[in-house]
Amino acid sequence: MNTKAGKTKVLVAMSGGVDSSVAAALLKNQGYEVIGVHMQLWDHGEANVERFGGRCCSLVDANDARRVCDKIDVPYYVINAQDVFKEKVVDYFVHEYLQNRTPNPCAECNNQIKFNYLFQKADELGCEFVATGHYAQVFHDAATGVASLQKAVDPHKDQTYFLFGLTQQALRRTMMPLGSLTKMMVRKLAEEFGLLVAQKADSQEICFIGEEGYTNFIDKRVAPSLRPKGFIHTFAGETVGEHTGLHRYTIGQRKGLQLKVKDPDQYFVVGFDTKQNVLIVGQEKHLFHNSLIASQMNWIRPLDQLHGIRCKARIRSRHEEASCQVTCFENGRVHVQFDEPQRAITPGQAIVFYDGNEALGGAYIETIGSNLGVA
Amino acid sequence: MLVKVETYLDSNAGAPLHPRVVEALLPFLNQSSRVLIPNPSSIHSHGRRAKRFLAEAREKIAASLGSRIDPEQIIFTSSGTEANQLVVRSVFEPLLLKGAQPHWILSAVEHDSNRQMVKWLEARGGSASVLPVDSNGNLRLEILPELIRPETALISAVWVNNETGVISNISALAQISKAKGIPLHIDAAQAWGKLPIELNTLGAQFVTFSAHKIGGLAGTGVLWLAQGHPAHAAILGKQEKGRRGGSENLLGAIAAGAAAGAIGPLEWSENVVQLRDRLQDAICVKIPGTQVNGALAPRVSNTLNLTFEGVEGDGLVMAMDLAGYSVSSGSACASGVLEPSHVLLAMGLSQAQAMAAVRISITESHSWENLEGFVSALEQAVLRVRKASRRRDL
Repeated sequence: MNTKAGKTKVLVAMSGGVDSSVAAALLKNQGYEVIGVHMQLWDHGEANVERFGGRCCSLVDANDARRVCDKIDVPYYVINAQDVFKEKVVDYFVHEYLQNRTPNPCAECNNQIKFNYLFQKADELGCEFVATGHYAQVFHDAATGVASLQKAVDPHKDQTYFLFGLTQQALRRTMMPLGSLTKMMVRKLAEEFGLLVAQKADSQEICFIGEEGYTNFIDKRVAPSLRPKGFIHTFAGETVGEHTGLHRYTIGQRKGLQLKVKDPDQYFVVGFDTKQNVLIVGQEKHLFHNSLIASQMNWIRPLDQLHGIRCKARIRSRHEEASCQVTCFENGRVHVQFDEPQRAITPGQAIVFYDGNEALGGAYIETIGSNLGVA
Repeated sequence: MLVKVETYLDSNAGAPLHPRVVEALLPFLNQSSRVLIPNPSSIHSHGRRAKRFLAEAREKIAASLGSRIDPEQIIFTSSGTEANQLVVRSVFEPLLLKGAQPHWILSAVEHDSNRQMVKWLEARGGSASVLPVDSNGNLRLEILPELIRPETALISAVWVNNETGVISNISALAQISKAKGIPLHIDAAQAWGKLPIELNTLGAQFVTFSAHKIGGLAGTGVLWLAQGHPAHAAILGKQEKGRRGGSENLLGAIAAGAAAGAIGPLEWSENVVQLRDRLQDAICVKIPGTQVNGALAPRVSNTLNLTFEGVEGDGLVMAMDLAGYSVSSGSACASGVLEPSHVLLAMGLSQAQAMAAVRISITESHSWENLEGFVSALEQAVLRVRKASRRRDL
C-alpha cells in the first residue's frame, strides 16, 4: 500500500451512479481513506422511492450509494444541499431562461456545489482531497505545483466542458480517477468490485427536470406576466407567427415554431428582441457568426493574457472545437474571434477553451458578434 | 454486529440491552432442540405457556408504572410511534365517524410520531393547534387556555423531550386538562426509567412508552389507557383484547418486562447526573462559545444538547462519527439527510444552528475516561468546523 495514500483522507462525491461508485472503490483500493458523501440536491417528491431512469437524487440513488459504501466498507453520509442547490443552480436556471439565455446548470452545479460547497464539507471532515466520478484528468506539475485540467482518455465521455469553472485552489485538491478509463472499463471494474450499480443506466439530461420538460418547469415557477406571449418577426420585420413566451425558444431551433409562411422548414430562431417581446427568425445563414463576447472568464491555470491567446473553443458540449483568437479584458470579459463562422452561438452557454488536450478555462457567452448591442 | 458501548453516546435513540434482558432472553435461544417461540394465542400447552410469559411481562411493566396499575390496561404495540398514533386514532376516529370536526392541541416539541398525525387529522376534517415552548423548552402553559376550544378532544405533550432531556410540567398541564375535561395524552418514551412514574396520579388518560429506551428490544411499544378510555384499533384482530391485532411479539414483550423490572430511576439518576454535569462543565470550559440547550429547564440526568457558536450545518456530527463517537443531531429523513431539529427551532434557534446541534445521551455504564476522550475529540472537531466556515466566508 502506498503510505502517503494510506494517511490521506478523500471525500468522494457519490451520486449513486456507476461512475462515482467506481471512483470511490478505486481510491479505496489505492489505500486512501475514503469518505462517501451523497448530496441531496433536489426533492423529487413521491416519485422518490421508484426507480426511474436517468434521474438523480431519488431515494434509490441515496440508497445505492449507501450500499456501495457498505460494500467497500467506508463511512457514508448524506448531506442536505437542497437550499444551496435551489439558490445557486435552479434559480439561476430559471432566471437565465427569463433573460432569453440558455443556461448550463451542470457547469454551474460543478462551480457552485461540487467544487465549492463540497470543499467546505471536506474541510469540516478533515479531508485533503475531493474526488468525483467525472471523466477528466487532473495533472499536477511537480516543479511548479500548478494543476491543470486535461480531457478524458475516452473522447465520448469527456466532461471537461462542464468543469471550466474549476479554480487552481480547488483543482489542486481534486481527484478524478476515471479520466484515464473508458466507460466500458468502468462498468467492468464495477462488476469486478461487485458493485450492484454496475449495470445502472447513465443519468440523462438535467437532473431536476422530470418528464415535464424544462418549459413546463419554468411555467410552473414563474408568473404568466413575466413570460408574456408575443409575435414572431423575420429580420425584415414581417410578422410570421406568434410565440408562447420567449423562454420557450433557443437559438437555432427550427421545430415547433408554427410559422405562417410558405416554407417554414427554412426558418430558424436567430435572436430575441426583448424590448418588443419579439422572437426573431431567419434563414440558416443568419445563424453563423464570427465572434462573440463572453463574461465571468475563468482561466484554470495562470496564462499570459497580454498578447491574446490562440486556441480552440467549444461553444456547447457537443460542439466540434473551432480555432479562435481570444482577447482578454480586465473585467473578466473576453472577445473571441473565430477563424470560421460558427453556427448558433447561444448566449448563456459556456465557451470553453482548449490547447490540445488541456482545458484552459471558460466563460459564459454574453453577446454574439463584436458589438455589445443586442443580437 | 460489532458495537462498542464506550463510544456510543446516543442511548436516547436506543439504549444498550439491560443485562437482565439478555438473561431473560437467553433461555429461549439456548434450548437443546430447535428454538420454538410459541404463539400466545394458541390454546394448547405451548401456547398457554407463551401466554403466561406474556402476562408476566405485562405485570412487570405495570409494576414499573406505579402502584395498583391494572396490567389489562396495558397494550403492546410495535413501537412508541404506533402507541402514540393509536392514541390519536382512538380519540378522534369515533368523533370523525360521527361527522364532528374535533380539535387537537399538541406541543411544539412532540415526537415525529405525533406530528405526523396532524396531517392525518386535518385530512379528515379535524384541526390542530400547537402549544409553544419557551427558549428553554418549557411548555408555555399560560397560553394553553387560549388554545382550548369547545371541540378540543385531546391534549398531547411529551413528558421528557428526547432531544434536550427537558422535563415538561405534567402536573400543571394535567390540572388544566382536568379542569376543562379534556383527555390528556403523555408521550413518556424518554421518561420511563429516567423518572419515577405514578400513572394513577399523573392525571393523564393515555400514556405511551418504548422498550428500547430502557434496555429492551426495539419493536416493542407500550400504551397505557385509563379506565373508560377505550382504544380504537388501527390494526384489527383478536389479540390484545381486540385493541391491537397481529401475533404477539413474545420475545419483545419478555425483554420489555425484564427491562421494566430492572429499572430504578432514582439510583440511576444519581449516578448518571454526576457524569453528565462533569461532561457539560468540561465541554463548556474547553470549547468557548458552547451553548447548552434547555440548560435552565429541569432536565433528565443523561441528556446534553449543545450548539457551538460559529458551527453551522451538518458537518459536526459527521466529524464526530469519523472520530469514532456516535452522537446524534436533529432527525434524519428517509434518505439520511439531516434536517434541522423542530424542537430547537421551537426554542428559537436558527435553522443553521439547529442543524449543527449535537445531542449527547449517556448511560451509567460510561466511565469518565471514555468521556474525557470524547471531549478532546469534540474540541478538535469544533475547531476544524469553525476554521472551515471561516475559510468559506473569506
